[in-house]
Amino acid sequence: MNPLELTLGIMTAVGGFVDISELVFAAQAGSSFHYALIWVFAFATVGMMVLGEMSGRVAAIAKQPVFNLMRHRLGLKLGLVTLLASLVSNLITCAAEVGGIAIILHLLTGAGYRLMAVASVVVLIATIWVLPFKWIERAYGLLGLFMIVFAIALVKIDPPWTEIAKGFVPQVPHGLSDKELVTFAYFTVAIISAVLFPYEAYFYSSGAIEEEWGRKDILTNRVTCTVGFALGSLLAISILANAAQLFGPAHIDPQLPGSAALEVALPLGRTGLLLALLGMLFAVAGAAVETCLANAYSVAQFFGWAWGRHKKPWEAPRFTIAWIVLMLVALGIVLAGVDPMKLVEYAILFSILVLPLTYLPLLLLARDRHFMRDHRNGLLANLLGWAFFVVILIAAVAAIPLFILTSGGQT
Amino acid sequence: MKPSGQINLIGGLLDLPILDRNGLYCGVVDDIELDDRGGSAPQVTHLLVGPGAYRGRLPGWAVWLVARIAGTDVTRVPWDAIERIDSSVTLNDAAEAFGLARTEDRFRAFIPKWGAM
Amino acid sequence: MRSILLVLSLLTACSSRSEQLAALKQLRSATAEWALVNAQAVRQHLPAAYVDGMRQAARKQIRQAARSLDDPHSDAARRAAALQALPPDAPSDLLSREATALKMTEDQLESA
Repeated sequence: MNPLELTLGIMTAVGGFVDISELVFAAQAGSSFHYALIWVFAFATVGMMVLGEMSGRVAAIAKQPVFNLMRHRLGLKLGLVTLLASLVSNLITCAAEVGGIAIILHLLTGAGYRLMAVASVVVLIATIWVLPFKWIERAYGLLGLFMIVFAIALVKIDPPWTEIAKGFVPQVPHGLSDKELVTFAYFTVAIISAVLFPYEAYFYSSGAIEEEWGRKDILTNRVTCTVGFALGSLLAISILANAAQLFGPAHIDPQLPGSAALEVALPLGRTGLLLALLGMLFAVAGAAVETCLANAYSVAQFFGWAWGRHKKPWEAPRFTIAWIVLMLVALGIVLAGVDPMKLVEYAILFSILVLPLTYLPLLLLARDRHFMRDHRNGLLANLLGWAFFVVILIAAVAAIPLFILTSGGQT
Repeated sequence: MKPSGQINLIGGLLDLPILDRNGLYCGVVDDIELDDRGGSAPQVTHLLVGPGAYRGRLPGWAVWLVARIAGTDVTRVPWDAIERIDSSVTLNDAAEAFGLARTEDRFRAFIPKWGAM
Repeated sequence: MRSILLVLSLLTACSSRSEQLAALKQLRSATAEWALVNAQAVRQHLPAAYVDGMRQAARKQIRQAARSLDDPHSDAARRAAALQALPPDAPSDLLSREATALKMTEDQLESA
């Protein structure tokens, strides 16, 4: 295990953890329910560690990424349904990320929102075209570490640390009305969906193949997933805790993505605000790249095309055309005037519906003696994997009724 | 596993990705052609690769839609071209030898060959 | 048939009340965010691009929320109209007071 590679991998995981959905939902969760939803972030992150570790391990040992296995395990018909559902889910998510980038650039420069959307997509396409896979992932992941300013801001405002610690204990706050209980349930499902987005598993497992992971990388995979995702989760929890302290008393349920940066401006001033906006920009841009590539991986792997950014673009032409077209479609959705915040809500909803179909083949394969040999799931991985699968199923069933009852978390 | 003897067609072969001898992805086992030897166990003669092989595996409207988007090509890869079957099917020659690189080559004409590190 | 109609009309009423609550919440929060931005704009010397962008976004949210309110003569609708008439750099304490008043209206509707 190369310490430098490991450190870079962990830092990339930290900087790449937060995307537009977590940004929005963490701030809203904090302002609406103070610290009571911290445990949901922690719980969902453990799920991400379990499922991320499995997808990395399967890629390293079976030498196949998630979507290849998906079709083999589910068959053509159900595989096609999963492909279409995840394409829609990832495309909406990608459009939300592109819209988020455009908003942040508009707030940084004053330039028009639509112009910034076009400019950002040009830069994203150029990045993916020019850079090899390892540096695409690292560039955005490491630059996303500007998000650490949210943790610094939290320390600066000296919050009630005991209350924050209590937030890690699973709970439902006392004295909630029926409506508030339903909204709490909606936020629980939304946070689970935001942390466990399907594109993360597709991107992570395909990335493991891109980087030619093998048995020697099993420990790196485990450490990156546990330490990297844990630290990344703490950034999301910082956003929540800041919002609880600063937005709750001011009657703010942040409707505007730029409001999260105010959490840092209040204690750290102008410099803090700029660093927060930069962190948000790179974190969201990284997520836009991941969702776009995840979609292209899914299509290419499902139909058996050559794929990967470890190849030059012309060595995998259909894959190249796929990710360019998908990024342009996401841009089209943004330019059509769809509100990015609405896109975030729909991304959350579609993703939780797709999650069971994403993770079931992964779970079945991770315990398959034929493919995984002595690296198949042990007792703990099986227990945790299936436990989280049940949680995901319950969340998927509850998602649509809760979305309707709360008008997308607005009541 | 070297391809000989009995094989689980659904769990062990169908819908596996195909790699050529250079490790290049060149398709998926979309269907299988069997030789019915009347009485004795059928033998796999060819792997079928391409959208045309979905006929019989998808409902009629889906087959029609796929044909409109991706065409109806089917490439038949002989059974003895298979080097190994594990989590994928590895062939014993390059994709071009089996006609599995045609579509990729067609699309390559649209991609500029510069700028990438 | 009558029970189906009763259930449908109850659902419609609930949905309408839910939409009004969502609009009120959007109105209240956008006003509070506008107030916070204006307060910090001066105190923290925030960049002009950020301040202008946030004010524009908050005012757009207020316009959208106002359009969703059913009763144009309600207290919330009158406050929304007054907010829309304010300049972008309106005093933050005025905006905070409006946000607090809207919160009370929202709480009343929620408990009705």
